[in-house]
Amino acid sequence: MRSRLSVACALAALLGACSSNLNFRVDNRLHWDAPAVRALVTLPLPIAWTMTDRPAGSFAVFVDRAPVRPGRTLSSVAAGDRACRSDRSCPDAEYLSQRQVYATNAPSMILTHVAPLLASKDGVQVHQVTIVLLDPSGRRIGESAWTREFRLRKVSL
Amino acid sequence: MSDLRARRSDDDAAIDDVVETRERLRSTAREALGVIGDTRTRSWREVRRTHELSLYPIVALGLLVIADGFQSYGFTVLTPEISSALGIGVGSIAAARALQTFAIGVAPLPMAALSQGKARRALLCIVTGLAWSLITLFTGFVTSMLALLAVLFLDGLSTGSVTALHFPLILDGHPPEARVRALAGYATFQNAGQILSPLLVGLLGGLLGFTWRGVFLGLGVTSTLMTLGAIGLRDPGFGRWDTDQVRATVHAGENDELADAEVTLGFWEIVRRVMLIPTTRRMLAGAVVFGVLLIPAQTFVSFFLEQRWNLGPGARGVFFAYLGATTVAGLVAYGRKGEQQFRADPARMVRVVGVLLATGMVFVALGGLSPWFPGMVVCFGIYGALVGTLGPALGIALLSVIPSRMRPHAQALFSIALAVGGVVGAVLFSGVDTRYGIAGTMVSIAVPGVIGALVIGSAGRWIGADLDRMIDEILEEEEVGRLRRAGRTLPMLACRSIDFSYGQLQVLFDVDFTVDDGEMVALLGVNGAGKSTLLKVISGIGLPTRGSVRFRGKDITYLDAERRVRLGITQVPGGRAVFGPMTVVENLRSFGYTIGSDRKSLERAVDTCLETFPRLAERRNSLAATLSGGEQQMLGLSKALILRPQILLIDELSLGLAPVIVGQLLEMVRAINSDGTAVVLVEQSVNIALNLVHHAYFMERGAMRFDGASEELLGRSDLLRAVFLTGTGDLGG
Repeated sequence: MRSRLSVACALAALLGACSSNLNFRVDNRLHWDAPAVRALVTLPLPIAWTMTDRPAGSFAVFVDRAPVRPGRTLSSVAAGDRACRSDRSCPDAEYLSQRQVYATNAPSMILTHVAPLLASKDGVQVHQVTIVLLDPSGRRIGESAWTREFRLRKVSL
Repeated sequence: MSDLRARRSDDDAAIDDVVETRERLRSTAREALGVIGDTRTRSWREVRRTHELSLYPIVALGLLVIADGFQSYGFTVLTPEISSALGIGVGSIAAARALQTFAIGVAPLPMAALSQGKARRALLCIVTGLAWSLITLFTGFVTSMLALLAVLFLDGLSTGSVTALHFPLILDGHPPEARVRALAGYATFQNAGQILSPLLVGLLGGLLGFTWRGVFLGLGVTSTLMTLGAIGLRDPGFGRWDTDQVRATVHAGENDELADAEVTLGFWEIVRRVMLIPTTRRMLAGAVVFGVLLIPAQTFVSFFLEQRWNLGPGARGVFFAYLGATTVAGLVAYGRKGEQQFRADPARMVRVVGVLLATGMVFVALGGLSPWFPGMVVCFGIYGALVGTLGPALGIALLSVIPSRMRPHAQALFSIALAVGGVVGAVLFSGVDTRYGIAGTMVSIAVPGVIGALVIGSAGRWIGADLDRMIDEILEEEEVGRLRRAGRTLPMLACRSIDFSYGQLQVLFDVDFTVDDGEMVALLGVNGAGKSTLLKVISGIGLPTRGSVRFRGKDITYLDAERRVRLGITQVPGGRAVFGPMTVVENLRSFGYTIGSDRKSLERAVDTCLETFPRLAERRNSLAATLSGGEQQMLGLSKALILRPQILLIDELSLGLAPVIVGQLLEMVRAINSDGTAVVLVEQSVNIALNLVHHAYFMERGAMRFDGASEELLGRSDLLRAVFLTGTGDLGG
């Protein structure tokens, strides 16, 4: 009985996906304008993109971190942060930008700060910026995500 | 008395027959295993035509091993996309991959266990192939971390069949003269997978415009089709081309007796037995060291290409495909050469492989330091080609010294050794990367690589002796079977050519020892002669590094001690063989629990013991630790009354006891023997022993110096020095 229950749970976990809106084809609606692929850049770094068939809502930009899960808002960036959860205004834009997360309505923005990758000692580090779509209520739409890598000289802290 | 002597004489003749046959057929058997002493090799086509070999098993296993790599490659390349789509951090995905690596590390063991009783390896390969194909397919539907963990863990478990079963299947499907080339052919498929996987991912993700989900669906469908292409694979049976051929040198055309379930080795017994083979041990040690390099290398090479040479995922895929191609080229060039080396001298083949691997590692370091991109590419290409020899040559070296049924276990242990090294390497090189950067890491991974390669190469020192040992075991088994079928009598217990070591210290040297039904023999020698160690080998507490222990003709050399108790072999250890904190009755009951006696018969046996030893009955509720030395020995001897063994091994019965007590105990031993139990009495006191027995053995410095009638031993003053005979004369009679 217990083993059947385990199998059922495992299947439910695996098949739970069936009800979701899964992407099997690459979403080509967004095109990067800047920076160029793996370009060696300096700060401040302008990033820009063009989007066709843009749905209502905004963009969320994540630098060197995974975006929030589909259906979640940017407040899930603060998941696990007790101090933030006790503060009604948190997470705000400043909190998010400290964690290299930005929300914007425009198809461009300027990155003034990119934290160095502490795990690496290489002089030139590869960073990545990821854009996802948010609906008017601030929830991530679907699984579509667009990522671009760029290279930046490491700045000593 | 005369019956016993006549039987012993018959037994000795039978054993001489076994030894003589073994010596006579060893070189023929070596040829049957493909070691012929020269470099003659027939062409692959000729070998295939002669033995009517089909290419299908290699192709089928090749398809499976290619498909096996899809899931892993897909994850390696698509992790960033999976992370972005699901909103799961790369660190979490890396943790899930670590769980998969753990599953891959342990999975070969259950695969080996599932295949040891029956030749169902092909079926297991197909079933697990279908399993990982479905898992790859399901990966395309994953939406949560839990599901991700599930697919990676299950995929890791199902791929255990590749590690444990593919090489043994190829070995059993091909005659020795074709094995290196067959393994090289299989390894070519394995490396072709490194080219095909990037192409397929590139096609699905690039040209056809699928997301990671679509790519996994495509990989899953392709994997399923490839597995279906392998569905005609059949297990050739254990040892069709080697151990059976060796057996045939003893008696062609006779049917083998089925192995007695009572003495068939279990899973852990096989694992322990495999670990006792010196070649295997050295290769496993080499695998641990080599694993430090091998498993993290893929990851670090990726980082190296990205950070040092600014190669994106596509270019890195092309680079790995190039490495795969150089490996295939190395395999094609090495196949026949390796065959020739193995046939001429397996030891040389292993040493050459060690040197080639070490050279390959030097090229990794040179590639890491090269300031010039083409130079780096050439260095890594040479590394790929040299390492290409690793699979087939190591496979043949590792498995050729192991009986067919145990090969999956050896393969599983080898993969675990690599995984252990891999974990160490991942931790070690993360620190090196942080301290010296990626180029420094590439240079430093060559260090364990060179050491591991040399350790593996040094296994060549033992491979010849281990091949002969395996041949001797098979020939002995067959000859014993033949004698039994011919109605010849065999001794109840026969130890032959026993070597035993405590770590690096060898304490038994080529020891022979025989006991007949109902016989009582003495095993004599000074302290440290090896008497107690020989008893341990007989009772299974210690395992020999060479030689065999046969009980009623069946090989029990590697059987667990508790299974030997059930067969009827019981030892009363030296010193006080009782559980001190337990009462007398509890001690007696505990002896019975070892054979799972039912409560009523156990209580009856306990009552018999207490009747036989009234002194114990008086102290039935006393703790054993409070008994006198003689009482404790009585209690130890009671084991024989409870277990009713066929052979009782008594170690140092008289040690530290008053003569009158020793006399009582010896009477008890006589009574046990007269009931039909054979007794081996280990003693330092010659007088005590020779008063009881008619046949004696004398050991000195780990070797058997005397085997004959006890009265003959009394005439050997060179052995029985004066000091040895003093102090016990008052026991005469």
